[in-house]
Amino acid sequence: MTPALDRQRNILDFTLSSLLRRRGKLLSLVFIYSTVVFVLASIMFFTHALRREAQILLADAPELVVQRMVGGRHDPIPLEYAVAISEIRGVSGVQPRFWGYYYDADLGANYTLQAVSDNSLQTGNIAIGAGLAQLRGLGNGDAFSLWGSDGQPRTFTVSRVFSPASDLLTTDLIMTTEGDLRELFNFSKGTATDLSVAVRNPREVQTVAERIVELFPDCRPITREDIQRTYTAVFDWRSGILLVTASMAIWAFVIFSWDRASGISASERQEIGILKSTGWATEDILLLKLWEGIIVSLTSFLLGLIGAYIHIFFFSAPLFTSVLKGWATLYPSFRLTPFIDYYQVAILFVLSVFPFLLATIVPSWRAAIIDPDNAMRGGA
Amino acid sequence: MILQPGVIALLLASLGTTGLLLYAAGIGIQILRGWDVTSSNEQQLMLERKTALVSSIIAILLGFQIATLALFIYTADALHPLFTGSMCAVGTLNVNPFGYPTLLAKLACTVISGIWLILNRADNRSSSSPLTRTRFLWLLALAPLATFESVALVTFFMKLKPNVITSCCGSLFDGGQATLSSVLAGLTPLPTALVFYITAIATLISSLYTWRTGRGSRILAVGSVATFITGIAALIAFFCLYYYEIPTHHCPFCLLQPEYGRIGFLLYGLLIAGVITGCGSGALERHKTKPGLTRVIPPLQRRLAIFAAVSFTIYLTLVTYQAAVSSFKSG
Amino acid sequence: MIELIDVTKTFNRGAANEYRAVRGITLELAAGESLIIKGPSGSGKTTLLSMIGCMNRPTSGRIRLTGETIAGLVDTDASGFVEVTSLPERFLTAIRRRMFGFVFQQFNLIRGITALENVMQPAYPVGIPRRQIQHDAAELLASLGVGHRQTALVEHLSGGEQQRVAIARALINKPSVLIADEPTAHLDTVLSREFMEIAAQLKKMGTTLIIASHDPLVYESDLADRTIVVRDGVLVTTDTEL
Ligand SMILES: Nc1ncnc2c1ncn2[C@@H]1O[C@H](COP(=O)(O)OP(=O)(O)OP(=O)(O)O)[C@@H](O)[C@H]1O
Ligand SMILES: [Mg+2]
Repeated sequence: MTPALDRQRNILDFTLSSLLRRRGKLLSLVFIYSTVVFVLASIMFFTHALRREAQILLADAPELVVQRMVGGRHDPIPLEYAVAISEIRGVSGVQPRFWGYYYDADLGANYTLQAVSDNSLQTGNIAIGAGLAQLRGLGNGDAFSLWGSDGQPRTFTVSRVFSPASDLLTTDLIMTTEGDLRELFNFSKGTATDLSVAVRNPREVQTVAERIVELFPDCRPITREDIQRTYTAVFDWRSGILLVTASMAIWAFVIFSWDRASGISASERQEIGILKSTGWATEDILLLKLWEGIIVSLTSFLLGLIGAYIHIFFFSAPLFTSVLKGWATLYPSFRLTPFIDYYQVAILFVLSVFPFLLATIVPSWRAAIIDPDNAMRGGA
Repeated sequence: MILQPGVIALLLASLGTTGLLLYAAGIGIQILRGWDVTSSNEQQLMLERKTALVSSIIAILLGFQIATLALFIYTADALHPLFTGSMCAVGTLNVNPFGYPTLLAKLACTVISGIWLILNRADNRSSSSPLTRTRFLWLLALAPLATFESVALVTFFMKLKPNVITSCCGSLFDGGQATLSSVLAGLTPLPTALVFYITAIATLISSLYTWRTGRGSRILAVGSVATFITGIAALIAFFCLYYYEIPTHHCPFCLLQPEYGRIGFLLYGLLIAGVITGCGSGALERHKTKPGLTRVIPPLQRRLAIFAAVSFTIYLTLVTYQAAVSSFKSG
Repeated sequence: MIELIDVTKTFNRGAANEYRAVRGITLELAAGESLIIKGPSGSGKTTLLSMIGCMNRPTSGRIRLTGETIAGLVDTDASGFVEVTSLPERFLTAIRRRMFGFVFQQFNLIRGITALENVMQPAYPVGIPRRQIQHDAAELLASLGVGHRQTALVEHLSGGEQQRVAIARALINKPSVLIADEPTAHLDTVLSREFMEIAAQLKKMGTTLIIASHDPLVYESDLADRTIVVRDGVLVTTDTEL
């Protein structure tokens, strides 16, 4: 090894031993620091995993959905529109969709009711999401009543429960036949909730959408890309807001405790004075401090990261499901698919390690310039 | 404004480093005012100690710049689905006029802080610290650049509005507006590659000459800048085709993606290392004859020259190898 | 090998509590010579030693050093001397590390680590492989008769043992000059005698010694080639009663 490498190694060794000598301070610092990383990483892993679930789901969504707008609000769409749209060049098929929301006053939960587009269900039967099944204690063959818009209850038989692991959006879902749904919600004849449009060539989606608006100015075509974009933006925004608030609060706390805990102690001052008087240069102490910072931050970073991984992917984020998924009472209890990419880790690294290193430069330097002749006069 | 985690991380890092750099520049002004090597009083001692602080800040800054350079490109890539017509980072950076300036400013900061650390190293070897003024004048040039980078970065992200229609690497080649990247992508592949080979080989010869004799560092500096620029131009116009194996894909950033083994990190890293060491060697040339440096600078220059030569040679070999073995044939 | 020319040190210069601790001392010391500095408390002995040992710089005057240890570190003048007065701190450190070993009034050992590690510590930044340092340190401790205490934490050592560890630490980088500030202040007579024996051995091996002390046991010993007296920061040639 070259002298330069030997110097690095020796100083690194010494740093480790001096950190271990101050175990108490080291542990409390690593604890605070890894908690910061843990919270930030949990937020990121969680929103990222949710977003991925949503994206996988959207991959099966129709390329184009056409809604009719009345007074700026979503209104049932006449079925004649479907005929006209199916004649547009490039459209390979139009499927009317029927769905709506149902408010369960007992539980204060919202369900999504949707009609199947094929014959997979018989009249009077429903298929329900796992979250709902669990909440209501329902299984195959059980009866379940829903109140119609005329105020009368209707009883359905559960013929299928979606598997718990399936995904985010089926948890509060009830699938019925088209007839049952029309009847329940009293949908007027000749209309659908919206239309799903299949386009032969994905590149023509935009053109088809423009043509639809030309034909029916009261319609709003939504492309899959639009939805994806909205989802991305929403998830980014949510995690962004959370990250900003979380990191501000956390770093305020850290700076506070840093001030308390790390203002270099008398014994450390004396030790550095001794090192300097016995031949360590300012640069050597700076190197010692740099290694110290690297060791502390990498340890805490890894601990926080591993903790967050376990928290999110093994225990399904118990600490803040309510905050993040908060828009529904019935949130999914499925396990998120473990997923990490380098990009996420890099962001976390920048968010947690950079501020730490930046904050420690000046204190490290202050420690490094302690006068060597302090030791001549019995320390600090 | 898009509140994506990567954006927050970049803003935080950029504001943090610029803040610290401005602080360092403040110290730099004190040093420029009060520096007096002949004095041995407390004030001079404090200034000497502060130069150590500034060196630490710049070293950290260099590390941060390199890391955030990559993060910036990745974030631009992650944001691309928000913009119609965008397929990768190129599209995002084109959304408003601050994307590329930010990138270039980051690059410039990286190179200048690298050169600064080289000057610093030479100066620390000499007992009379004859480069102190030079170093801190460079620092005063670096501070506005870093400030510009921060401002450009903030503006870029503030002005990012989803749904903007932008042009991306697929359409760059079609011409249209003359953005920097479209110009680069629009260069005719073969002549560009040829210019690069000539420049690179000339630079290699010059760096070997400097290595052997310790002379000709200025030419090496010019050569390494030229190799850096033509290297990137040739990568975008010519060599990348052999990585992507698609005749119209001229993206400078997709090379950083896992699909291509993140080879871009290595390629750009080599070019940056080459330009920093080459320019560092040239920047030392003026000071070679200063008392106290005559025995410090020449060996350092020779080490830098061989470092630049090695970096550029590896780059040259990698891209040539790819062009030779790739199943893709241009033209 | 060491020359002081009209050296002064003023603390807190320009402030109300300005204090001139050393006032115009001129001194010359040859290699291998041993010098004892005598003087009452507060007379400026420690200040003088720390300037000679490149721990801090004089306010005015010149300090010049020569010797093969520093020849490769800094540019020397024609006569092979280095003027350390205005050298940057990093060079002072480099010179100090190669040329001087210090034994402090308080032993200044690092608590919580072993005797061996204390001895090794000054060699870390030099860039020698750790194993080599360890070997040298163990050898030094053994030659000073505390080899069996290597792995003990320094706070568990007796005063005499602590001082031997401190001496071993001062010698780890093979200095040509050993500076000791009141080395016997915290020792009883027996231990003080032992220290003087060690010092005599080092002298025999060619080490230059500079010892500040107001202990008669030290300045009346035949160790000293030369004894000087400092009072109120001034060198007084006549050795009057303290
Ligand atoms: N950093 C400082 N700032 C101000 N005054 C100082 C400083 N260091 C030392 N002094 C003063 O300089 C004078 C000389 O101190 P020094 O320690 O050199 O004396 P000494 O001869 O070693 O005394 P002792 O025998 O007690 O160790 C003392 O009066 C002390 O108070
Ligand atoms: Mg004293």
